Amino acid sequence: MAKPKESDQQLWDRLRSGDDDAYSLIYNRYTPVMFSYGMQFSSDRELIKDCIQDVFVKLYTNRKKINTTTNIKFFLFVILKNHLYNYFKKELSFTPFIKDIDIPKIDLSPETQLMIKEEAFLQQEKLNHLLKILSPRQQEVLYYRYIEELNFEEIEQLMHINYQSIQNLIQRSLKKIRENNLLLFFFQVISV
Amino acid sequence: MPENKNIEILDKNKYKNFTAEDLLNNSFFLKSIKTPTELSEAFWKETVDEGFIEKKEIDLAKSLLLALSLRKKSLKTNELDSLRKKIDKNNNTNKKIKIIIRITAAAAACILLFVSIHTFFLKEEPTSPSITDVASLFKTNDLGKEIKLKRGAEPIISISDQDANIEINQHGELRINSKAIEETAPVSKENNIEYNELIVPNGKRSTLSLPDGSKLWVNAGSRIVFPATFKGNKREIFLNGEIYIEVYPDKSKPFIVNTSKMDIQVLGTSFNITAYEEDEEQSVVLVTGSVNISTDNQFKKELCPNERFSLTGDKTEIRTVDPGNYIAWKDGWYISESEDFGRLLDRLGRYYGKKVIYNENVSQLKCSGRLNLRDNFVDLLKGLEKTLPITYSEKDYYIEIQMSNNKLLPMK
Repeated sequence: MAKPKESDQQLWDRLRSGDDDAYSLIYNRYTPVMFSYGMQFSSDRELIKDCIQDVFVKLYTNRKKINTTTNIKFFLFVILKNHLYNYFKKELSFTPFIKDIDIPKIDLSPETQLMIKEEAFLQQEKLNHLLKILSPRQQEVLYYRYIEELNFEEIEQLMHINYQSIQNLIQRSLKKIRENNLLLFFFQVISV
Repeated sequence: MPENKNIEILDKNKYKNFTAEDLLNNSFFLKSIKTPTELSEAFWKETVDEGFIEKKEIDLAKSLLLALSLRKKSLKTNELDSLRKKIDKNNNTNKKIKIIIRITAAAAACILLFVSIHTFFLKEEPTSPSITDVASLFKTNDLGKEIKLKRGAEPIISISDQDANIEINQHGELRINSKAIEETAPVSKENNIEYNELIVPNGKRSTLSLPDGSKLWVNAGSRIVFPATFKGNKREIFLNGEIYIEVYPDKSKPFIVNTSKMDIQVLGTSFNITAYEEDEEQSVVLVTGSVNISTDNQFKKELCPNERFSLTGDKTEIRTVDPGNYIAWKDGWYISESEDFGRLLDRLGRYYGKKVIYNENVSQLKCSGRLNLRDNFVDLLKGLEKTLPITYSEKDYYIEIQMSNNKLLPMK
């Protein structure tokens, strides 16, 4: 650990001072998560890419005038979601999850491969099923909280709901999973 | 340093009796699942083997996390690169844009306010963008749940009342429900026009007094953008929604209301504008004085009192009406005369902030009468049920109106 990692605020301030390297770094670091986030609302890759393009163009034009932030990802999410609102002209919600199973590609003996495939397949089936019992709104909250690790205030702003509603959505999701007895038994499962 | 941190994290006692919820709120656990290492795998296995955490709790947290990860979508490297090229090309041609966006992450002020995080500034240039351009920057289709006032770089003010009364005097001083609000950071950049934005979501109402002495009644589901002070030779505001406005007479400075489809220019007068962007029809009803309307498709028209102008697609229409019916909402009444019931339901839904669902048959019923908007929505629907061949049912997020089969169709 030679030197401490640059904080979001420092990086953002570099962008605001007109530093093009900071702009590039922000683009490279955050475009993938923005894309993944945008794809939660639509399955149209090109559309999401276009919106991200707009966001970055706007960001560049206004980089010297924007305010400071301590969480760049959240900041970009808000702008991207606003853009999507303007495009769809309706309330946005997470799309229902569509199954899309990847089988690991590796060179193994056919038998082992088959076994892994089967096991991976079964595991994914179970996870799919788990997602299916959750409402899009529950999935949205959980995605923000556990995948993107946003805090409650940030989720409140992205979803326009209050702290208690977020808590309720999370609690009910977990309750639902418990009741449906959907948990997997992991320790014996593959690690490829 | 990092070692100390690891030792602290790897203290199993810290995780004693953790539930799935606790685990999911723990960043080390999240990291362990997202990017597992031998160390982390072994650590969590031991916490279970040694009885610190129940296995089913870990399995539950892990299942949820892995299931959510299935939603992730990735961008290919070549997509990332070609997107970057497009952006760079745009940036190089776009440098002339003078619009300055100021984004305030007023996080601290927003703890329980569900707001989007932008306000904006414009630099006054000979070719400064129109107020419509300003309004379209970062416009949002989700108005949230509370009345909100955004003023330049000031923290956003959120008002939880059903009705708000907002006054800005000629010195720019703000009063909300008769209470003075101090500015926290007065902005004194001379060349900046500062813009304010008032958002009144469905189910709420507000009045707004502008620095020039004009007064607006703002109906539910509306968004208004207006400058902090009216500089230059005109007074201009932007509207998406419905207002009744009494314009303070000032012959030297015409007052212009911009909507998505038309501009209404006046000197001093009172009129009602209904211009929700999502509605097909936009309309103006003139109460006193005179107004000039120009629409996107170059239609220009001067309106006389008691006339109603409407624009549906490219079609325009002017007819004589009783203006009282169209501005009754500001006093809490709804008056309709042989109006489609569907339209009435849409307006009520907006007024009360409830989604209303109905089918074509319901929509085509004609109704006339007067409703008291001070009644709550359910009471009002109960009343309608008695006079119209309909029944309503209240669901979690919406209200459904259906034809009732056991009632005869003809109505009073």
